[in-house]
Amino acid sequence: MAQETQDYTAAAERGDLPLLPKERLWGFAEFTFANSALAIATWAFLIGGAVGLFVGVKEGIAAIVIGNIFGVILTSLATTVMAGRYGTEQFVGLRSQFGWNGTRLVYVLAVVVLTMGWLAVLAMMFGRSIDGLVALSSGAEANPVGIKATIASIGAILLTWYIVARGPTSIKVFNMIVSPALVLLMVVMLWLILRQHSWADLMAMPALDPPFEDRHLNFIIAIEVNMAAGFSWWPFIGNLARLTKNERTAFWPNTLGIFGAAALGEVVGLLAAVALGNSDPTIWMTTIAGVGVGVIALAFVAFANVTSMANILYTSVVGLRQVGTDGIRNIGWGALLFAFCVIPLLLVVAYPQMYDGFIIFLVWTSALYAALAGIGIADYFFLRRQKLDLRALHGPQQGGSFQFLGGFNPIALVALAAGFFVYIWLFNPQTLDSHWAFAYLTASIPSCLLAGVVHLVLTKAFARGRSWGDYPR
Amino acid sequence: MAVQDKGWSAEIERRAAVYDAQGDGGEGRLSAADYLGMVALAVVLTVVFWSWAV
Repeated sequence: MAQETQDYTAAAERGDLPLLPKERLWGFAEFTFANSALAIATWAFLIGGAVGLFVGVKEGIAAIVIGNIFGVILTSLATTVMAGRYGTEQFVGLRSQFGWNGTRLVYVLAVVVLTMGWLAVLAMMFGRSIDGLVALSSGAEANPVGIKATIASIGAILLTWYIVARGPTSIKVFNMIVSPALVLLMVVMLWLILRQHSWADLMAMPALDPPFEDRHLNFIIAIEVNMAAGFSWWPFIGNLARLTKNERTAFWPNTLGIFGAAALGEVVGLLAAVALGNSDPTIWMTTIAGVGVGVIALAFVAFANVTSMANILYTSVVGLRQVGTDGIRNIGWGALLFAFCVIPLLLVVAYPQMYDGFIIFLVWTSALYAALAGIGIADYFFLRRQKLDLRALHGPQQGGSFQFLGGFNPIALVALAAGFFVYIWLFNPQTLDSHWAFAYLTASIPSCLLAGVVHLVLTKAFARGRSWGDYPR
Repeated sequence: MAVQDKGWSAEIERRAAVYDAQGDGGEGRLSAADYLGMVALAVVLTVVFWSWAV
């Protein structure tokens, strides 16, 4: 009996069952620390540096705060409140919105693609850091797209695969070292920048490479980039929030941890990029404080990247086993991890330009996440009135409440498509072309709103019966 | 996934019943004040930083 109880608790921790309140570990402080550790990562330097391309420091700080607070609040509402109340795994809960097969489709679109992209970008950042480090210590010229950087990038992915294949304990060890050390690195960077430039000088610094003459449009693009950064937590924070003790503890720490920590890292990245004239952290770190500090900083950034890569690879592959078919569940852990790394390996070899255009990739993902957040809020708060049927979510899916049409909810998929297309109609992330309304509305907010309204109206009109979501009437 | 044994089904039932028993109450539920707080936080930060920067 005791063994059986233990097995069920382990199954609940894996996400196969809802966690009970007494099985949840995190209070307010623990969750704030955990999601700060997730948010304090090297991508914050990248995003902050990219913001510096569009706007100067003052507008950049405002864009970081405004964009992130909207992105984080809307994403948290869509994912963490449900997880905090019921302790459900995020993608199990998503069955109530998209159907059990629809959830698999969303997982591939929203998690697999994002994770593979970020793995490639962070591996390239690792490669460039190592290349910069070697160049700095030997006095040679750095070549960010050269053979050394490529080999180091491949090594970063293989090292990440090795660490994650050894299990979560090795990742935890890395996290405990890297997160506090990254905070320290940010403080040192901030001190070095402020030693060379006064606060007033920094605030007056212009953008590095503004795409348009219209400053207002550049500012809105910078806000949109930061909303994308905020929305990009969608795949991750629901499953962290289910470990918290209640709804309030699941929601509010995101505004301190994810929002606060990411904003701090981005502001440091922005200041450094604008002050040192280059948006790439692997370049500005070599010029910020001479050879000694530069080599240490680059080595640390390379190390920190592997930690970030390990975190996202582990989370994504655990989720993949949760939503995957029996065939995927039967693949060995190491082999499945390696299969996940193949596309990132190809990207670092064949498409190193992705690193410089990573912001385009980030904004594309927001076209999806903003719509997903809108659907999540409409479904959970307005259609289900915050009530989930745990028996239907965790019981047999075939013929159950979330059968919809062959396991896909076409209404949610139409809403997702509507949100996605209105986003790219308002703002094309590839070309930065925008509709005049974008300058007043952004693209993420209308996308989120429209997807939610379409899901709400079509569900009210057409979703009837127990197998069509069993919505309350 | 399609086939679940009796023990597993009973465990789902037991866990669902815990949440059924909580009903609309339960400790730490988000209240109207929390939702107003979210709106206020987003609006205040936007107005303050927008006015400061632009």
